[in-house]
Amino acid sequence: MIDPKNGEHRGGAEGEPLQLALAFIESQADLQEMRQQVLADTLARIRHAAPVAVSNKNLLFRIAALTFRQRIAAAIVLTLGGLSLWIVLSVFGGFTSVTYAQVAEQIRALRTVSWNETVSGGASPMRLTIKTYCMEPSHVRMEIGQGMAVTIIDQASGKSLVLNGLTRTAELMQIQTTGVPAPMQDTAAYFRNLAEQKGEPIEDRVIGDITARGFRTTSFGFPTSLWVDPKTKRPLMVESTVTMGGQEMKLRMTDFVFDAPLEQSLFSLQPPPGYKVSQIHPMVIVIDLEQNVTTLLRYYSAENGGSFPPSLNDILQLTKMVSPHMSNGQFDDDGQKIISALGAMTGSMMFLSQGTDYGYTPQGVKLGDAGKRVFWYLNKDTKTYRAIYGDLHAADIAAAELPIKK
Amino acid sequence: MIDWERILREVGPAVWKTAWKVLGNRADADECFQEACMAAVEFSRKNTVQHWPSLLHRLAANRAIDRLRQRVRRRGRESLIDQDQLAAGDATPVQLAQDSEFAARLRSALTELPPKHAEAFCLFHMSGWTYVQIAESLSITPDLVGVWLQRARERLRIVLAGAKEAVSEVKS
Repeated sequence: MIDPKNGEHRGGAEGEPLQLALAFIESQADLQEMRQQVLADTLARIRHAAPVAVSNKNLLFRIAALTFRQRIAAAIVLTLGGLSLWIVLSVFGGFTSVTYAQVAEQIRALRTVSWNETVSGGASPMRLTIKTYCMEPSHVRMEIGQGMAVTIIDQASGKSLVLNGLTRTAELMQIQTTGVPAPMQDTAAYFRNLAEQKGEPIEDRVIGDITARGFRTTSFGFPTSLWVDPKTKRPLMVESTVTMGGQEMKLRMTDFVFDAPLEQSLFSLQPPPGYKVSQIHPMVIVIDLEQNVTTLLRYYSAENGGSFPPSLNDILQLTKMVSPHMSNGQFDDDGQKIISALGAMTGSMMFLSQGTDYGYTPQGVKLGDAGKRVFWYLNKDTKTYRAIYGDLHAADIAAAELPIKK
Repeated sequence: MIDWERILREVGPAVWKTAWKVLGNRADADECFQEACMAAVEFSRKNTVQHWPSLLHRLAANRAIDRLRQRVRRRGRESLIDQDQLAAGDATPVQLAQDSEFAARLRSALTELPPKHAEAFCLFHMSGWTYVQIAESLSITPDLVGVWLQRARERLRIVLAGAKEAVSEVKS
């Protein structure tokens, strides 16, 4: 039997057993249809088994998806305190009915806090759930996707344990940071900043049996609303819209529990029984945007014929740089440097606005192009602009030379 | 974001049908379809999927052939006779029985082919792919697809010729 469309031979001579068998199978298959229930069951299995895998664009989903992205997540949490942690702590300073002194007093008195968080983003109908526990002096536990991925961090020692429930693997990390104080390491400096924030009243909201007072504030540049128990002056619900990796995401934090006794075992850095354990080299993370971007551009261009990555927000693409540096589940020194730079750069960029605080223009620039600018940013400490060029040298640049959005 | 609902609604029925054609019964096709989808989820965690229909068809075809092999090992070739209710159409009961026997022999013989030949055969004859589509999906040349298919058909014809003789003996 010849296919009339392309002349390909589909079967055999009329009446030969092979052709009869195929024709019979075809005729019987024509009578069969997949039941809708199979489709529904399959979708349910996909959503249940791999909630982090159903999205490949949302940054947080990506971070949670694979072990080495968890390392990056841990690096971000460890270096910058974790986005939700910052927001939750910052909202204490964001409402008008409580003075800074009261806020600071409450915060200093807190021994433990936990909350649930949902993250939804982009066009995704999926929601990521995160349960966060914090305990003085410096312990944080984040359970992502109903405990499927767990990151336990001791910020004081820089030690971290990353558990992947899907693969039942555990990774011990030791991260040293330089460049910025993490919020739980320098609480006094952190709350001095909080005191400068203002909050404006918004509509109250009934949460449970409490009429919570609403306030709108800004937390690290992200619009944030919170509803506060008028009696305790503590938040019952916090909502924030953040932009990470070019994706806008909505965070909602609820079920705050303050000063409840928490088991020390929640923060144990001992891998659970049955987990395959690996220990990676100590990571040194430097919170220096210029240095980290330069590192990433250098490694990427070296492995891609002198081209620079099309985007610095596409974490999935950038993490592919790490693969050649992995062997038997371990990264070599270069792999560690890439992960460190990627984690720190991603963390830094959470708090920067593209076009205003930084710009990335790799089009038409190749490694070695000393006269072509590939990246620029505002150094907020010195209030000057800096640029990185195609040959990876950096220099001060005048604001007038940059396409800064007004 | 991977829009699984859209992908499965668009491609799922055809992928499921490929599984049914290879396996010949609904329960196995359902399970095979789910296994293929979960394998696709796993694959997409570590790779960028360029063409979901190709991936799902290939996964379904390979898993269906694996299931055939398991079934033959466990229960013998008789288990490959279509278990869903057979529709006669214009065929006589004798024809129906004969064709059903040929189909069972074909499925059994598929399990003995080299895996790549079996996959190419299923994609071509049961999923309706062209040489070029198979070649692109398997990263080989269309000529090589033709060679694999030719070898697969030769082998299957030998097995089915034996079946024809057996059926003729029964008829006589």
